[in-house]
Amino acid sequence: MRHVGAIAGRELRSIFSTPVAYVMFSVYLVFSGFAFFLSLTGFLSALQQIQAFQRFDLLEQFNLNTSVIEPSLGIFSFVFLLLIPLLTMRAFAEEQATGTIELLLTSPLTIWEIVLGKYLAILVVIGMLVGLSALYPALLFYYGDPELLPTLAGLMGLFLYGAAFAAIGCLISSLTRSQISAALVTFFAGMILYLIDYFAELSLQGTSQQVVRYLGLRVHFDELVSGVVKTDDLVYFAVVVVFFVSGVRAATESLRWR
Amino acid sequence: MGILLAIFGMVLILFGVIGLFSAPTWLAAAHLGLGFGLLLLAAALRLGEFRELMKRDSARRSAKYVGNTLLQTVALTVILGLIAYLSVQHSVRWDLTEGKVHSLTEASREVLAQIPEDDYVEILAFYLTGSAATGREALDLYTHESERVKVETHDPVRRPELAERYEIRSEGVLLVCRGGCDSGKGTVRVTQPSEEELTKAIRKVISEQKKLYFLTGHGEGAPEDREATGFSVAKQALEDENIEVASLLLAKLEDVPADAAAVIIAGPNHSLLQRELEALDRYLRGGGSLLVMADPIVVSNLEGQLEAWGIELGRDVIVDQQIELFAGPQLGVQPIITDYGSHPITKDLIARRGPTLFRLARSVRKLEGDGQFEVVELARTGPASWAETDLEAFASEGRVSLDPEHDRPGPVALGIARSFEVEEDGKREGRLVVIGDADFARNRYIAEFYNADFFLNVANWLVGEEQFISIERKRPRASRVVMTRQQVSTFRYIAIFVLPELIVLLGILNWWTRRS
Repeated sequence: MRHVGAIAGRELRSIFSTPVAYVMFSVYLVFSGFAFFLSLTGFLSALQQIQAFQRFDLLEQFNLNTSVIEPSLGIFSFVFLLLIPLLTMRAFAEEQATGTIELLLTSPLTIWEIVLGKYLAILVVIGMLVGLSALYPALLFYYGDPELLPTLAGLMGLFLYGAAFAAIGCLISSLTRSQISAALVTFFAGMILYLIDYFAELSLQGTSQQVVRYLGLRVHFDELVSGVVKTDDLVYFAVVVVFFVSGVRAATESLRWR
Repeated sequence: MGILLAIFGMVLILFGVIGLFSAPTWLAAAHLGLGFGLLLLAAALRLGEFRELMKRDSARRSAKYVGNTLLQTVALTVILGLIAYLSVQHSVRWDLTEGKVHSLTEASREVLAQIPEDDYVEILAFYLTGSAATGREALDLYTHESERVKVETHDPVRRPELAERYEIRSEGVLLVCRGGCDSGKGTVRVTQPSEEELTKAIRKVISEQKKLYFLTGHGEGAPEDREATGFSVAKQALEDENIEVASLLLAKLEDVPADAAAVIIAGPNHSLLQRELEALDRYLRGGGSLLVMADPIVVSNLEGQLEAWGIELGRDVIVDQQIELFAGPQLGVQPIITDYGSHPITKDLIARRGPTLFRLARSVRKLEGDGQFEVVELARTGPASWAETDLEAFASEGRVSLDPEHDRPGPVALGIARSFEVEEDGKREGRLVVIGDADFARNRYIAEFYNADFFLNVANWLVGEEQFISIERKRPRASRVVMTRQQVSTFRYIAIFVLPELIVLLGILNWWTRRS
């Protein structure tokens, strides 16, 4: 496993060698900035109105976490849905299209090292996106007094959500040579996992509803964003990552005998 | 042909899965069955070809790898599925919000801890498919907190037999039952899936039913009386709180029945027999609970007995400002109370700022000199009110005026609660509540403002169920951000404009440098 770091470094350099990553960061900042400042402006306007009408009793109900941070993180997660396919599409599909995967497979590296190195690089990029997202709550902490622990739980939720989604994207990328196909399929898969609890809510009941809701990414993410950390949510993200990264390993290994 | 069948099979399976969410179950199942059937048929058609292929070494090797990979995938799926299942079954939860807004209150936890170990509470929630999320968050908290709470959600349209059996006439009804809803051990209906309502319902079904008597024989309002002056609405409200209500003709008995958790004297018109008063005195000092609701103008021997218990029932009528439609504030005899003393009875009314309306009330006062017990004034009128003592002028002419010599200026208390110490071991304190009005709880007025809540709070405190009175709602901690418009604009400009632009320019520069 000692080569994982080197692979991740190579992958990171490769990600940042094209303008795509920069455009991705830029798009993320624009969308997340709009979402955050829209919530913040709404919060400040409501606060002003309450003060103008001298309804100070209503001030008790104002909470930055529920009014600004939670809705913003919800929108950030939706932006992830658009950006992560762009991040993962090239991870394996490009190597297959250009044939460089054969060089990797014939090198002394193990398949696990290759897969984990590439996945680690993507996690680093997701971590950077979450770090950028953390700047907004940081602004609130500087000028106000939101609650720290639910904010950290929400950011952790955003990272885990990104990590799980990236694992799915990596598997899809490893199954095709076309980056476009990989991005599109990843986007649709993410969309389904994002909305599956809605479908379950609208059409299922009882155990089948519980099972299908459990499969949805958003249910587990929402819990963390609301400041509730549950071991089953953490296990869910871990299971998704392990399952799909193992899938990537199997798909990459299959290139040897396909 | 085989490939075409396989593709058809996969399409049918795909739409079968979609159909699970959007089509009748039989149609989805038919799609899935047919899809898998076509896949099998396609495999059977290609079987000969497959055998031929398997004779080649490379194909055999590939098949071996495929088999291994499939086996590994299945094993991994089973293991991870098991881990996920166990994690859901044994989930540990931390609510990181400062106000613990996503957790049950201590009061609810205490109630759940009281569910007997060999018993359980079943909650049947009837929601139309698509609207079950309404109560889920609250219900999840209960199932997470206690293994002895089981929740099942049903659609009353899809399960008409259940709706019929449990007489569900609308959606959004929750049945809280002890030991399953068919056990007959006790069921309470809830229509608001809030923590307050659910905990109260659970408490009701697991607790021993208390009995409360309405004294009769002296012209009191009867709990069965459905007329405007009766107490049938109050009786129903008490029964909904798991309190059994009965009438008590004390004149025929030697003592208050031993099973009486409380006795209510609801607006008597005549005096009580001396031995009735003695029986009530013994009952109260022996750890019983008594609510006296006495209307003004009526004079009975209750006043004397109350004095012996350290409380003076004023021979007056309270005059207060009241609002009438199109008339603005004016004097009247229907005081609206918003000033409550601190007591378990009034705790939730204070929190909810709930007013109560009384009609023709008299003052109630703690007698000076009896300092051995704590007396709390439950409800007080405003400073503009007074206790009018010229009842003759009021009764005959309806005339009232503040006479500083005889009348008591406001605020005037019209309800008092006190406790009696009980020396006997194992008995709780005696509890007495005196209210200078009975009308507020009669059928005509009990639905006004927060009258029903006030009456039920009194009854629950008297029968020793003060935990029923209120479950404090949790709120997130209030937080602020102090930013000027200019600051917000500047940061927005930096976040949405400056930073993204710089990043793109940096990216292009980096790409250009590498390219050249």
